[in-house]
Amino acid sequence: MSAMSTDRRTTAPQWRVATTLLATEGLRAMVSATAVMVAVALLFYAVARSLGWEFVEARSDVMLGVVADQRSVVVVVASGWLPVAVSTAAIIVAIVLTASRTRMFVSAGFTRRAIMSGTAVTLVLLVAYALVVGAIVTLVLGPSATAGYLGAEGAQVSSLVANGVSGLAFGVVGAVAVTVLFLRFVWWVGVLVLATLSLLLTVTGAAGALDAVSSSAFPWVLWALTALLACAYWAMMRRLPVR
Amino acid sequence: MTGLADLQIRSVTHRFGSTTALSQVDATIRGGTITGLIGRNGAGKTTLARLIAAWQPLQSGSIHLDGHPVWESQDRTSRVCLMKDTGGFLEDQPVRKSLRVHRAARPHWDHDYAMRLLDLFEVPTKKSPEKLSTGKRSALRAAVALATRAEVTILDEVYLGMDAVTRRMFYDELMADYIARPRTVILSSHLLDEVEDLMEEVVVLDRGRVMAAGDTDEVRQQYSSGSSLASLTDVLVQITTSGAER
Repeated sequence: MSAMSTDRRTTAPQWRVATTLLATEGLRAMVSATAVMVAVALLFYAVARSLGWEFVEARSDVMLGVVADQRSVVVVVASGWLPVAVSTAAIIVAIVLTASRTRMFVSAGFTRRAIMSGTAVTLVLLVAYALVVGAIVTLVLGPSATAGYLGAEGAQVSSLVANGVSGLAFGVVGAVAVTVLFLRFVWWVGVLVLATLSLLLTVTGAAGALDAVSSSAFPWVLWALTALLACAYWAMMRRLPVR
Repeated sequence: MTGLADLQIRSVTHRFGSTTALSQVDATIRGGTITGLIGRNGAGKTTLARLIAAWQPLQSGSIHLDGHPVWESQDRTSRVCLMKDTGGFLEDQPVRKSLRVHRAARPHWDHDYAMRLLDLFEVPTKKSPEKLSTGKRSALRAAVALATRAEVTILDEVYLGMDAVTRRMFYDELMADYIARPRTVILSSHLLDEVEDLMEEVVVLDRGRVMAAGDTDEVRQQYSSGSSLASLTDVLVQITTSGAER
């Protein structure tokens, strides 16, 4: 490159650049989503208060609800919905980021390895963000109330956190793996793979068994499945084409 | 001598199902030249361009830049830019977001130059690419390709949809920048009459095979008869209708 008269900028390793771009975008989306959720909740609260609606403490099976009859309106709200909603947002952000950025980054000159590293770090940050939101809610409500809202009275907060983290990690890695399946192959291959998998899980009764063993007694099952999905993601990304 | 590395393409064969897009392609794109990649529809030009830029994994053969494979090499992929009618942009996001990615990924990215070109071609950066007209999208791609200052810049029909005036401005910019900052440019176009004077070297593909390659004037000379020099269109007509390899 001796003849290039534009000075080559000192560049960081691509994985770091990709991580910065992906993580910034992902966390920005998460903060925006959280802000919107909190704003909607506050607005809802203000309206309910101004109209004099009765507030009822949420039970474990009700996250959010409004019961109205001719005489009164009862609002049932659990603050525990926020970490759940943020976790759902994390899964959606993981899907959107992977779908919109992966091919674009390859065509912009990033290696697939750099994108995989960036995605991995971003997923860790998304899970950490949801964990922080969960921690803030727990601090505000108190550990026992949070456990109650999540339907786990008597359970230790530490095991709740462990289950939450493993569940969310499984969710985001699974979401990214499925997204890359559709990026890597034509759409009908993705549909075929997912249909076959769900059919197999249902017919063999593995879905129910999986649900049982992945409960708090066997948290490692979810981590093992997450590792399996991560391997599938890696295998598909290695030779991902850009159309 | 520009000091720029050659691009070595060796025994590249690529199939899509039962269709052979490229068959045993061997070519050397000399560093610091403007090389035309020409052929009829389905000749394999875009497939070859995508393989060079590592958009698609090789099935067989090799593509080396500066003696090393381009595939999954950070130092190579960031130095090869392919711009075609699709890809390379966040289609539903403002143009400036895509520019941010290119700026981060391309070691020689010149942001001031990018903004000047976008201004010249009247491309709004606040709009998303999907909301631009075909001509403006092409101008956007051309501007970004030039601003990457990538050592190997591949322009695959990037000027489709541009009006005649914008095309002329683009060719002028390409030449001015090429002279000021030498790079390897690979031009693939059906508008041969417009670009053949820009091409110093040429690779002619037909049905996935290299039918002619080398200095443009020499290739034209080979296919000339009488006193008039054959145009590249004449070359292409002769090659693709006779199938003769010289």
